[in-house]
Amino acid sequence: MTYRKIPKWARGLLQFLVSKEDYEFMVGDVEELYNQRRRKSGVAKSKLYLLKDLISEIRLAKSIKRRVGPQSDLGLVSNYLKLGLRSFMKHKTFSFGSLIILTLGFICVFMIAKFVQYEFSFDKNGVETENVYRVYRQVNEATGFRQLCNVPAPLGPAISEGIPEVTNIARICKFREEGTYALSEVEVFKEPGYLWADNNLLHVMGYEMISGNLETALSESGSVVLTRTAARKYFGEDEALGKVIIFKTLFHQDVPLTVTGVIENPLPNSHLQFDILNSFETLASQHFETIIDSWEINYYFTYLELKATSFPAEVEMKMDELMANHIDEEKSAESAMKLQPISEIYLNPNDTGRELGPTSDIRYSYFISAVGLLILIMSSINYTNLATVKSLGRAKEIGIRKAIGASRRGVFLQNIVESQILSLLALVLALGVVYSVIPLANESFDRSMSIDLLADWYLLLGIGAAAVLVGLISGFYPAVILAALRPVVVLRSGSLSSAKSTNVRKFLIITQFVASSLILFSSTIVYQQMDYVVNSDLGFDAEHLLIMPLSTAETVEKFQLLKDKLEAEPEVFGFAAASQYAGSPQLFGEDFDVINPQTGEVVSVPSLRFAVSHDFLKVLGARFLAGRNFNKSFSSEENRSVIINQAFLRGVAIDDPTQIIGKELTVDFNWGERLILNVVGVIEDFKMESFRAEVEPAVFYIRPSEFYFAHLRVDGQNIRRSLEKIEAITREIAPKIPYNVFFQNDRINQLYKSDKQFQQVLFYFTVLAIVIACLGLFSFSLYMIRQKTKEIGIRKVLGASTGNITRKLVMSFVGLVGVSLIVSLPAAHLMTKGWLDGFSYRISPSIYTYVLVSAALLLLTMLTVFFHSTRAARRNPVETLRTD
Amino acid sequence: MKGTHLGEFEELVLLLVGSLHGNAYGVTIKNEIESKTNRRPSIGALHSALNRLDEKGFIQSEIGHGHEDRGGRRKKIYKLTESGREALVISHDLRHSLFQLIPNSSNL
Repeated sequence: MTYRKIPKWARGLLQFLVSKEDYEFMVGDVEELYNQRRRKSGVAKSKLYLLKDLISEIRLAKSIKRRVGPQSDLGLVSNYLKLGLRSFMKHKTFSFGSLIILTLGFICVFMIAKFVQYEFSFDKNGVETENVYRVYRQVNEATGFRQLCNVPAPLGPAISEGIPEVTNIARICKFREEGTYALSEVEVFKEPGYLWADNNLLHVMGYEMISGNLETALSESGSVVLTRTAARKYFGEDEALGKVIIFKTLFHQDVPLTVTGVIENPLPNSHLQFDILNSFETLASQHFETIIDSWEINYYFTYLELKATSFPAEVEMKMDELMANHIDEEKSAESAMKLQPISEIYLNPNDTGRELGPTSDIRYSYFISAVGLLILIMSSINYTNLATVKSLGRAKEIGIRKAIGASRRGVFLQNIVESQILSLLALVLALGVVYSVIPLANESFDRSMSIDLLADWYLLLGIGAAAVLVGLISGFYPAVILAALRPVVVLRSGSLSSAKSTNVRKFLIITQFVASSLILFSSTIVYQQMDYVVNSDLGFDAEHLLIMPLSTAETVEKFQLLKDKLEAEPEVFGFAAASQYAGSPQLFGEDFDVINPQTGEVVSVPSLRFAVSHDFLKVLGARFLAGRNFNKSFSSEENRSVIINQAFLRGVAIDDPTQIIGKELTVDFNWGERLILNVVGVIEDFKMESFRAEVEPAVFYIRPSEFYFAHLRVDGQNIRRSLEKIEAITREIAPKIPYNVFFQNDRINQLYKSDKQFQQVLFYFTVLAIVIACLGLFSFSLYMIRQKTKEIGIRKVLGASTGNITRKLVMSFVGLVGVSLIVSLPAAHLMTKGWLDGFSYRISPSIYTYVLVSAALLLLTMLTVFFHSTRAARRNPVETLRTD
Repeated sequence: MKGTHLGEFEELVLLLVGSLHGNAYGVTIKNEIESKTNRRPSIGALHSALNRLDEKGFIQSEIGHGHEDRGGRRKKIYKLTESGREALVISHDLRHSLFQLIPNSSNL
């Protein structure tokens, strides 16, 4: 075997580690060993050993110190560290002030980073789901397009057969009603979180099986898979596998289901949340054999797993072709099939009303990240200001240092080291606080952010780099000033103050307040926008609106009796029924055809359909734009009446609601029924489905067979008594139904959960940002005023009153803040305008908001600087002038 | 000159430098340690120990000839100095005299 040199990089490393003279011998030794091992244990092992050897040689780096020597700058660093720590302890007010400011800043930034990290962590757990997409339809409409993620059931199998890029498909169906499961006559459970799923789902989503076979768990009719939580709920600590649960179908039959698998709970950061999975085969055999084969019925979510090498766009095109082969041309031309990676669903839900788990809004993440960046900038400028003012007090020290031979570089380095110490100390404190606060934040925001330092290594790296950068940048300016200081000038006059540095300081204070007022302005506007989304006019009155599912035949039969009895009670103001409620999962939709009275063309409008009782719209408090509500009489005439909403008008592209009154609406239901309805009224839009997107077209007609949810308007005076009465009466009339009421408001609040969370988070961070700004100003004003001690003394001697001086001092700061307000106002306006444009429902920021926020900020400034100002103004001039 | 304390590993290296009779350099010392003591010190540990011994004045180095085994690179050959030998003797005597103080096993 011939002699081999070690790689160039290895030689380079050694060259760096040891002195020039020693280099040859060291390389010789390492190389000899390397060759020796190559002969003995082979190439691969010898390379590993070489690496180990090189790492072990790193200890020789100590000799670098010898080469550098104690006289150089690097050698002085340890001295600077010592001096830095000493000056930290000496100037306690300054040190702790800046430390708190920097720490608060880092806490904000890191907390925000954790929040945003969590937002972006959804469905990104490992490689299993990297190539998983969900199918959605993009439906073209007169006013744009809508995205709907429900597709026909046979699409999945057809894709699996016809598109080679797809390796796996999985379908899910979610009913709008809860599932009823029973272990015995008395142990009956309502499960809102149950889904119908293909066997492949477990595989496609990469769920972890606790027991059962992943490949076959859901392949049979009559099988059911439970999550860990559900398994515990039903069977406690016992083995769930093989046990039987009774499932009660919509048609009131009991279907025994055998537990064929238990899986780990879906991760909290997944868009897909459930407790129980019924097999798709059961759905086909027990419920709707026909609709599972129909290409016309869009009830199903379809997930595809693609080959890693394939292009989603190609698959989309092939899906379009597939659809065109199975549904009629007109309809397939209206919509395009698209794919969305599942990791994007949470942040960009394309079909908010129908989602299977939590959703959020990527724009909130963007905004809060911007706030984080601004806070970082603000606290670093804050520190620069303080350090600059403080350095003025150190002029003498530096002057002496320079006089006895310190170099410019040395002085500069010393200052940088000091600011680094502070910044890194703040970082450590902030990390401690953040990691101890996360469990609390998890609890109050219902999240599961990790406190695993290792898993967060890139965040830690980022924030560490930010801390070093903040230390460098904010230490830079004071370091430059001090380094450039001329010892002769300082030592003669004893102080350092030039007009130039005062201007820079003013500039910095303005920048700092520009940043904080930017945060304050835009947060206020964003807060208002969120408030608007959350509390906006629903179009109906959701207050004290109780919803009672009427899912059994018994209650549908006894509807009239129940209605009469309940309406007789003084606590019940109204009792109506509908096929769905606002915010119910999986709303029914259908295409309704109508002739546009202006153009004469037939327009097909995809709309939500609501089978309602005649007084439903009245109980809800919907507002009529034209026409009338339904009549009470159940005539055949009235059963053909239909009421539409404003969005439907937009779908037809007409403005005047009276134009459509009396026109005919045609709908072909997928069970083969054709309805011709007569428009009798138009109501104002109210939000039934998505609470973020535009209101969808909706159609209301009378059909008692679809009364699934009773809506009760109850007395708000004594909710508990009202609820007790209603329950007693309902149980008396229909004893068998699982009584399970909820308030409409609670359901709406649930839909807005992520918005509300962000609102809270934003609120906290804005408050923190303001606190940081005020703390900065507070200590800054102390130093600024201290500089003017003598001036104040002379003014007082010449006859100025305490009030005069206080006013003058306070106003000088107010002026600075005023300037920064003028700068930040247009910037904030532009920033929020761009952000708001992304929302279909948005506020237009009012001038009062800006005025109010500005006034608040000015007031806060006055209060902050007032303390030091009055103290300085009240001092006896004899004291202040005597010292000269 | 630094302190003349002799660490355990340093002592071992020093002994081997003496016993290798003019052929003591990094690789031979390392191989010798491995074969005699069943320890596997890393080359870095050895190099830094040699550096320390050099600083303390216990060993001296001279430039040895290159060999084809190491690509013609010269080696640094270490030799025991007088003070090194002295240090070994002191250490040996100390150990020996302390060992004498341990009672015989029969007395236990």
